Amino acid sequence: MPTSRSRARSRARPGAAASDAADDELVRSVGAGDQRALAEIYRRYAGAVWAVARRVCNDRVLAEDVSQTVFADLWRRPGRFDPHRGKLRPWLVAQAHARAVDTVRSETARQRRQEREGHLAPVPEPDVEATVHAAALTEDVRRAVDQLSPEEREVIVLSYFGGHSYRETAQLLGHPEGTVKTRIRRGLIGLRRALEAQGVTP
Amino acid sequence: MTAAARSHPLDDLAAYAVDAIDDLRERTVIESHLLSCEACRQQLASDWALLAGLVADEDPPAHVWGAIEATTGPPADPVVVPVDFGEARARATQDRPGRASRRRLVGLAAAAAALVAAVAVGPELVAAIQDAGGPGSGEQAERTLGVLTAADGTEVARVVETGGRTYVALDAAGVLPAGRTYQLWSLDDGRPPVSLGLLGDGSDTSVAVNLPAGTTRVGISDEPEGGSPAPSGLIAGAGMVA
Repeated sequence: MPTSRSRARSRARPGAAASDAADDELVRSVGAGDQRALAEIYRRYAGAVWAVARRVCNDRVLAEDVSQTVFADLWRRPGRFDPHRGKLRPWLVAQAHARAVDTVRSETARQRRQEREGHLAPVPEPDVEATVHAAALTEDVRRAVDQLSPEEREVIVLSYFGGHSYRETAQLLGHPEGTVKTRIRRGLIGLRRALEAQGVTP
Repeated sequence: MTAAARSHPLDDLAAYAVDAIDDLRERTVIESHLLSCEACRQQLASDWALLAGLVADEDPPAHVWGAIEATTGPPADPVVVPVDFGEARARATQDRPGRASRRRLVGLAAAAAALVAAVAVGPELVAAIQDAGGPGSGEQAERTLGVLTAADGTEVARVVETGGRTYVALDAAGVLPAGRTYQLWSLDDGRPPVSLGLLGDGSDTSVAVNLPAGTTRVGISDEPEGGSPAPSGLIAGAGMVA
């Protein structure tokens, strides 16, 4: 834990040091208590973490909490990142997405409770097109998403961008749960192919 | 179903990659498989790489780094202010009259009298998920790292480890009123409480957490939404072995 390690107490700022170090090396430095290494990781990947948190949460304050938590967690437990199992950027984005989804589910549960108690207007049902719009996808990604079948598109949008579990998605769409999971997998395959066809390498 | 789908849970893995599996037992099954399957680990890494490219980078607000830097610096001096759990119970009952019976907040009232009178419970291996009905779940063991109890010994929450992840199980903790959240703290002897994150209001009864190596004792408290820099009242504590 932080207090058990010799922490660098110098105040760090993003990009202040180690700008040419490899990601793995920076994570190792974080493990040794080097706050400047964390600052460099933040400089490199805060934009990706913030973007996914913002798009999933659709709320700046919640997204700030998610972003802070992701980097604070990396500081506390850098060993959770295993460089043999993938690169740092996608791993951080995955952490941010998971936390953002947890936040959205928690917030939705809270709103639904208030709705039941009559303190809040009914929570609107999720809308695929509105979710796509809120995600502010780049043109490449939007084209790839649009190339999916309508069934694959809606489950990818509702689950990844909307933060819905496969069970919720199945209920919303009136489809069997197993079918939804299969469509998520096929949707990911379709997205990869469509992006590769555009020359975008995931 | 293809041969590959039979030997590797590909559909489940895809749903896991997009965080569409919210059931702890289902997650445990997948995470257990990942521990022993290099092919599925590579597939997950590939899916995460794909997903990480879907949203364009965007500069976060400048103050986000400042908040991170503050949390990664030396811990603040403790400011421990008792919380009136009797009041918390009254709020909970008032806000959700139909749910009062689920809550252990009745038992928590006694906790106000002994802030950090946590019952330290040693590591305890238990066969868990006994009521599991899902495929493969009967083979999953859940390791209880600690039981968080109120001053009267009433169980409030558990810290469990399963599938390589650590969770706080809040089944017995109860749902807090609107605008409140549970917060997890490290309570290592001789050190100020250190926040380990927010656990939500209790409606999600299993919350993944990251316990720093060396954590020996934790507690949860009822805090305003957004959390507090120091606990305003500890509900319970537990012995922990990382």
